[in-house]
Amino acid sequence: MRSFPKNLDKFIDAGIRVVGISVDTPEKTRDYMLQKAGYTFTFLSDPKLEAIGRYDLVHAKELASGKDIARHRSLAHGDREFFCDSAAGTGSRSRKGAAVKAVLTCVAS
Amino acid sequence: MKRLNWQIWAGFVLSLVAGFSYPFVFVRWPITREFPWANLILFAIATVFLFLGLHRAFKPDKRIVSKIFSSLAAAFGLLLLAGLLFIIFVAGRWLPASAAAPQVGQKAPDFTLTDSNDKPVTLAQLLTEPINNKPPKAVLLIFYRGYW
Repeated sequence: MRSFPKNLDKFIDAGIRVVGISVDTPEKTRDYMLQKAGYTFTFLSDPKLEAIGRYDLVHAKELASGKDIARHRSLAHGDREFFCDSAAGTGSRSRKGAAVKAVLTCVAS
Repeated sequence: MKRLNWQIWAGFVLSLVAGFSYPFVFVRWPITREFPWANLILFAIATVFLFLGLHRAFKPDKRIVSKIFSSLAAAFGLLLLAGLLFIIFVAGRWLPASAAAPQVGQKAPDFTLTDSNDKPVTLAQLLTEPINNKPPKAVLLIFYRGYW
């Protein structure tokens, strides 16, 4: 998650709108993501798992929280219609910046 | 007089506390949940006690029973540590297969969600509203776990 906000400028330069989606309510998102973390891009709330469900990203009863959450995943909608998935470049074991690069390449191609 | 090997007991009880305090106590706060700092510190202290207890039990004048008992206690403590690390770092990251997920190249499903100003926003809107006075080339959706 963190590598994307850090590279926000690169995305904006490439004409990519960055949007964060989670189960948190708008109120929680304001508190944590905008005020505390200081992120400046768009955040959407999906407490009922509408979009998270449609993209099949529900991680049912995650071990640590015991609640349904979204899997970590970033999807870029290139050409306004189709999407490429940077999941191959994300995760704790992957190289730093791999996911960011994957998205930029995907949109540029 | 036979004296109690308190180190091995302390180590044993501490490793129990270190193992079971994660699901019951430390899982509540993100800082101790994301990385089990508190539990690892407790385990470190428990290991020191277990080691001291083992050291004492394996002195030549000690009986075989105390050697066996302290070895079992130490093994149990280490097993708990291994179990906790496995659950957090291995099993916790297993994800169910995502069969219905849209495939690469497929059209992104539209949705309407509430933004941080409590206004409804659709994906179609995000794809057309300009950034830097130009229509965006793409929208990057970052799904993150939430529950901060």
